[in-house]
Amino acid sequence: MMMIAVKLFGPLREITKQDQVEIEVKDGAKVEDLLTVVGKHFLGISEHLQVVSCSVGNEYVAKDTPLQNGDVVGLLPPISGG
Amino acid sequence: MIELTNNPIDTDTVLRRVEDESTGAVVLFLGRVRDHSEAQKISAMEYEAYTEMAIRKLEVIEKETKSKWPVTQMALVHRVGKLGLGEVSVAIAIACPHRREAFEACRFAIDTIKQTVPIWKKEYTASGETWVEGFTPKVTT
Repeated sequence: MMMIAVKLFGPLREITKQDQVEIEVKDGAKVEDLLTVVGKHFLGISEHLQVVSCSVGNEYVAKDTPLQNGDVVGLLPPISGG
Repeated sequence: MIELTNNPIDTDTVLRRVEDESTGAVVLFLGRVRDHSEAQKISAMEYEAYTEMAIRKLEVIEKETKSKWPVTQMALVHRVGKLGLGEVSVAIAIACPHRREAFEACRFAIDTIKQTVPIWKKEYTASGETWVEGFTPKVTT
């Protein structure tokens, strides 16, 4: 198993009342698998998970990116800075 | 100069960061909190950032802007926290030898901030608080 640090922002942070959570996923899991686990862990965020972008190591990554133990993954709702 | 700050943005300070006697043009762009969005009156706006990644993305924008135009000095400052009407949420100052490239570089910088920097904003209105519909960044790696 791998431990992934998941950072939550905007509406995701507000709904879950957490800005970071540790999530365990199976070896070989991809970002999309992590999203499935996060969706089961927190109820009421599936609508937001459908539209998030994801980051690993401060870069946007595709949902089929393989994860590694200890990765920090950002779940990023559509951005609205400026 | 790249900065995310909880404090009000002082535009004189931002302009001082791009002082350069060899350049003839400085463009300063300010994004401010306006009092409405679509049909709603807004009373305040709150900005939240993924700080480490936002700084990283601002650094990339600075590098890209400097690679495309003859920028001699550049400042990118974004505010976080709760802002009142009229407060500056983002300031971009760019110094170039001539005005045309300074305007183009500044336009590129603000457009790219909106498309790539992980920052979110929430509107406060009479009917409550609403996260602003945003932009989905492209995956580039």
